[in-house]
Amino acid sequence: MTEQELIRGCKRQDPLAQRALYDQYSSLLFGIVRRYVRHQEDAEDVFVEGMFKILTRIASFREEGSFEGWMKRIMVNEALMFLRKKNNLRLVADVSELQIGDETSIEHQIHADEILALVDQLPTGYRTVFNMYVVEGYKHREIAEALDISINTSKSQLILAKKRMRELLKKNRFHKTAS
Amino acid sequence: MKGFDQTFREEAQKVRATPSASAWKRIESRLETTRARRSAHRSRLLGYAAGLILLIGLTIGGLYMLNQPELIQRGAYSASITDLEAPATSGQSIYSVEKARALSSVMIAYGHDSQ
Repeated sequence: MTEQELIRGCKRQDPLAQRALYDQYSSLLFGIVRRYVRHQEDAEDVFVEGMFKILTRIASFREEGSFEGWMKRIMVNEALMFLRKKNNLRLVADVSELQIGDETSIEHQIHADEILALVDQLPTGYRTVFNMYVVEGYKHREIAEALDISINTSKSQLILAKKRMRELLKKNRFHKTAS
Repeated sequence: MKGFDQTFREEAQKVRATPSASAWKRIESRLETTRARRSAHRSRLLGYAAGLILLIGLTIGGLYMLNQPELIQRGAYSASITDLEAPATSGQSIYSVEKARALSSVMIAYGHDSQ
């Protein structure tokens, strides 16, 4: 089934097309949710809700833009909604931890199979802002709006996330070398 | 050489994770519930639409009949009244026929006057 046939079938609420769409995109979409939501069970709740929205609101998808992009946005929004509800993301800019030079780049290389293990070790605020900024490409203004935080808080969370990530990568690399 | 952010973005887009088998079952059962609710809603709407069409039809038909004096003259109404009351007991039906005739003569008289 081509992407267009899948979309048309799902717009008709055809159960076979719905199952085919699930089979084709579930691992990609669940991967996105897992980058934001640490626990498997919570991530699955978010994923089920997001997938249900995709399958029932598909009629509102205009076949102009990217279908994958449309589905990804629904999943990210669903994850953010969950995090706001569950973690009460009242992040504040913790400037005391920030030092000049913290924005320097991370030299370590990273592979897809290490990403979930790495982001799982970040605190929720760091992980959320990092994912939104680095992977999804949101601007700090958009992140601030979505999470109901200040732009400065978004910026500082990103710097702190990168700082923590650098430490974690250094540690992991050390462990790998030692073992 | 690629920066960390760019590498991370590219690698993150390759991340795949498998939900448990129960995830699809949950989605499927919710979809079935929605489908059943939608079809019940659609049937109810169709019922309302059919009722409305019937009502409009009867109203238009009634108004048309009332605006046709020839029908009254020809005694169409009296005949229909007699037909409606025919299944009653024999004693009553004679009375009904007489009553209907009296009524139709009044209507005929009214029809002549109005012309």
